[in-house]
Amino acid sequence: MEDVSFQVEKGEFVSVVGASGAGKTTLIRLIMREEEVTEGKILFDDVDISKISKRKIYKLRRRMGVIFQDYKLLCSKTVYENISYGLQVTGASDEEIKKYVPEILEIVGLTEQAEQCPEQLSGGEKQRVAIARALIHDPDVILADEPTGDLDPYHTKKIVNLLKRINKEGTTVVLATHDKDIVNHLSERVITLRDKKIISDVEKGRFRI
Amino acid sequence: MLTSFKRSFLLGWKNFKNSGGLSAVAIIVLTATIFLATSLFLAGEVSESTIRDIEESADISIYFKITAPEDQIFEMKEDLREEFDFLESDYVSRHEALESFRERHAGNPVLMEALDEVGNVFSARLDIRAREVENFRAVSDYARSNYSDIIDEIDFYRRKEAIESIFSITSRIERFLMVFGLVLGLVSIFIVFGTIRLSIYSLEEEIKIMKLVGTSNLFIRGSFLAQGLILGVIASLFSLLVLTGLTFVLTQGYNVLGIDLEHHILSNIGFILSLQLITGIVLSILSAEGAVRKYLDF
Repeated sequence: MEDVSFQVEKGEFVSVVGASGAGKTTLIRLIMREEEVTEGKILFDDVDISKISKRKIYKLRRRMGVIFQDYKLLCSKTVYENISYGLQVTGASDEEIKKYVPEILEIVGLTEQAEQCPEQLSGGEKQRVAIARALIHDPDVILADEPTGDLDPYHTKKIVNLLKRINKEGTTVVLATHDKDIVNHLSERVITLRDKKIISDVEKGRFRI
Repeated sequence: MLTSFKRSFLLGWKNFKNSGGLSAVAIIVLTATIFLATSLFLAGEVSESTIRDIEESADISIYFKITAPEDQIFEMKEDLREEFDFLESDYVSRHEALESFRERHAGNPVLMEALDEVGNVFSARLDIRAREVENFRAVSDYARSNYSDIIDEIDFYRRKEAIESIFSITSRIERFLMVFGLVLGLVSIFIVFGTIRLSIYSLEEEIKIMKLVGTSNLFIRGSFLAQGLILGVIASLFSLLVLTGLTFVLTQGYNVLGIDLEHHILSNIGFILSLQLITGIVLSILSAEGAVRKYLDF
């Protein structure tokens, strides 16, 4: 990334758009410090995240819910365990896990697949598991990297509506996508990337590359 | 905190189960090492107790010439008691020695007949308990230098040799166990290290994901340490089973070489179990910590 500077307010819904290789995924990885910045700063609640020690980085990540493009599911765990893992690491009680996991399974339409392993699921189903895991612990920010890439129109609409609903409840959403219809339907702030640079940043923007 | 500890432990248990064969090998080698550590302790205990028994029962037996007059023997007995105040002694006359022999071999008519033929060939003797092995020589030297005309033989050097030989055998066994135990200890550290390393390798991708979704390093590290702990505890319990099983099979209620092994084990069971648990846990946690430090990219 080069000369990238923008600010996201609490409770905002921002779409980051651009063609493949424009830098959407890199941007998400930098925000969650999966990659280190070589120059400049990323501030999260006024804290320079590059200054957070490796040992404490988990505290930052627990405040984020990340939907990865390649799902990043735990292959040795079932759908239920993958989703509950997001709660487990935050120290949620067993009762809370028993209460919230079935709820989110129902929202993403995976109640029937709860005991299956990721390898038994279709791409769309895996994506919905990843979404459920990112949402389950009620994070401050959702970082969604192409969350609807493998979904059919029905589930795409459902997930986008879910993200909108979560955003309305106060959660900040950063959505990286190249889906024109979603961006235009959302009618929210759009940051457009090209060749790892921001070429536009528009309130209530539309998709353009 | 407790919930995190429980979950970290459960993850360690899962890693342990997934490592299957390797976990089994690690447990076998750890069991052997722990067993050796216990044997080392038992060998020391048994030898100490055997030597103590010998020392307690050990006396210097001074055998007198058949012609030695009893009044001179009593004079010597009195003299020794004055010279060495710690000393206790019993006089066994020629007649008592003969009777005692007859009693012991009453069921052997051939021996009795022969004894009748030759008459009383036994010497009178003075049995002396000198408490410490170190006193034996002083008493013996004093008796020899002052009463050599009536003394036929002093049975002391043989006992000394027996004690020295026990010392020597035990220290050789202990040295062997120590060297073998050290080698086996190193092998078990490497095997547990390898088991944890392989778990880390096989979970490399999962560990990355866990960290990305906010799992603390402590939680991940804890799960591998728990895996090591499980290996150590299971090996300790196996070792205790092997020890009790072997003791039962070897002794079957009898003393082996005059040593009541069962009694030694039972009277030290708390210490033995602690020793085994500590050996197993220290070895396995050390290796797990080594593997975690080396292979977890924290």
